[in-house]
Amino acid sequence: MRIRPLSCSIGVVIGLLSVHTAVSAAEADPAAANPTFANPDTPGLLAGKPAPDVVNLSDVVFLKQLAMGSRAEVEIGKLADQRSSTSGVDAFARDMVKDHGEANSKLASLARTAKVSLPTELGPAHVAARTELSRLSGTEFDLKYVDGQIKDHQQAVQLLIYEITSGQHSGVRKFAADSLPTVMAHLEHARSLRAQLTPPEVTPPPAASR
Amino acid sequence: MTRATLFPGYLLASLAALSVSDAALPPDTTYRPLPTAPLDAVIKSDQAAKPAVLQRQRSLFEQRYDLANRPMPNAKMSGGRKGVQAGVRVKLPQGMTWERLGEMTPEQIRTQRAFPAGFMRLPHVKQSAGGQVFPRQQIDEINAQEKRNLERFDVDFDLPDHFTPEFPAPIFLQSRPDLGDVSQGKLLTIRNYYEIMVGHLTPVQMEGLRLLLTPFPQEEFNQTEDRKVIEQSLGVTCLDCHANFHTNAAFHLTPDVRPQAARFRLDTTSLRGMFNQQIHGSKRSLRSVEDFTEFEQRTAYFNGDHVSATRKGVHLPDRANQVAMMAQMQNMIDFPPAPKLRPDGTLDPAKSSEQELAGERVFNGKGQCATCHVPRQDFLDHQMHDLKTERFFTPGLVVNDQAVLPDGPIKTFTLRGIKDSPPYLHDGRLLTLADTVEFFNLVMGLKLTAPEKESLVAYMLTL
Repeated sequence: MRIRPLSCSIGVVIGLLSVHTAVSAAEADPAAANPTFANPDTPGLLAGKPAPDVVNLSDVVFLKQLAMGSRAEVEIGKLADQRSSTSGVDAFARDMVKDHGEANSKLASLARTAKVSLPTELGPAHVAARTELSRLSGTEFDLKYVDGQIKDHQQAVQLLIYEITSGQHSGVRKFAADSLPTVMAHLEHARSLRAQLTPPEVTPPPAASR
Repeated sequence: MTRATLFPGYLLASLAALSVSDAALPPDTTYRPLPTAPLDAVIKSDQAAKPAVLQRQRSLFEQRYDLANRPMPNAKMSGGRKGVQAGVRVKLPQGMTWERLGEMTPEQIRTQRAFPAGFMRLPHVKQSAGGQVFPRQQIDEINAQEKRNLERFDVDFDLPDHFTPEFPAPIFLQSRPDLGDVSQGKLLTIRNYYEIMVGHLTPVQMEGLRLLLTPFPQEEFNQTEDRKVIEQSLGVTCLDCHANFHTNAAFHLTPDVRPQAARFRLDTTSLRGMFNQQIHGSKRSLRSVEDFTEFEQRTAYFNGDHVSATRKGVHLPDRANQVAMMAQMQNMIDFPPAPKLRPDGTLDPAKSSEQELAGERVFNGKGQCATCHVPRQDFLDHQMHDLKTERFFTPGLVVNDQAVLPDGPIKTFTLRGIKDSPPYLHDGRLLTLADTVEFFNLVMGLKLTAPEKESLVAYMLTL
């Protein structure tokens, strides 16, 4: 368990940990985490097999933060699909709605098994981003949307990488590892869209002298 | 306006201020957290998990490499005691040949998942913990001479002994080439350096050497509860990894990348020929060995985390005296002799075999090796280059808790004395010289023939 300010209820998590008395039958990955940063009460810790189906605080932070971002991908993606006039951008937005919709279902079911409650509303940053986007159109909209996507996917990539060595819940860690190639591909796609939307300015050749 | 209506306004304002940071990543993506579990629980947990941790890494090695002990019949490292391992050891996907792989485009290799696993990043034996891991010989010798414990309770060294450099490595002084190897076949330590080196060095160099052999607290070897050695540790020394100013293949994770699963493994580099090297650190590109020596206390020792370093008792050497003396000592270390090389870095045809000369031609021509490994400049170019290996695979795969990401630009390493420094590449993912030839053949799209590849290996043995 890591020490850090948390938006979730630490009491709920600690209570959750303490009700587990035996190492679960779920697959344990002994090489996963550094026990120096573990909750000393983690079942199975002393046997080198921390309970794989129990969350630590990194899992909780990861689940909540990723769920919030992924929910925003769907909501803002729907707006972009309606609003964008550029075929590459609207196709990307539809991919986001589909891929993150699927991811959200998986996250919801993981969160249920891990007994973590996920945020049901967008965070203030994404609400502000959606409000700003809803006022834009044309290339201005496309650029703003794609820029937001680049930032959001950069954050998501780092969150997934973080969970791989910091998390404890084997299902959540597996979800992070399995999702990384897809989210990295989304980031690369968004970066290539941005490059297409901002072609290097070419100075027209001087008019031939008459 | 009443107090009741003012208050919600104030709340709204603070919510707006909060909105800028609600998506910020958790602090321990960058910073090392403070320990939460008591040390005795950590020791029990790590020791219990250790067999499975080592088994997982062993499986990865066996899946990627042919680990057999097969030295070349006619080649030894510079001390003449240890063989140089022969042949390509990276395994190919089922049914693939090196020739066929060499004909494929990066896109084909990527989509058909044909890039050999041994050409991808090599994870740390325990990526989540990371930190320095020493080979058995180093642990035993330091224990025998100094009674200082370099043994971790959570992990062991993961490479078979025949893929590591000669131990202890010979020491050649560029200030006295006439003397040859001055190591007396011993490992330099704080206990013996004086009698071995007095007379060969200046007073300033001797003091630099003393500092390079003095243990200082480190991330996993220190006195706090956040350590991976059972007793309170005196720490580690510079030459615990750069043993005899060469390398013993001790490994670490790069200090320059976060989060933890994104960090690549670092194979210790040799300090031979430091006098001619203009940039230092695989990523940091520090411009002098003085800079590197001064800053290493916060990087190799503490993962680039000055916060953790301060807590555990970092030793910050003073630039005008200690750093200067340590740097001057390091700059005295020469490459091993290469009797077939002329002063301009070319092979002397009178002393070289036809195969070695053919290898030199490939090196300078079709193989493009000399573009970066410039023979006239001790096979360095003082640049960092990005080989863009991610053209050949889908980034984001996770192997033993390490994310397979693009490495980005990495410093060119020298090839002088290269047969003495296995394993190869910055993370030690390649076990033999033949592996390096296959790797660069593929990554640079060279389409070398089998005789050309063999000649390159023969040539590299002369360096």
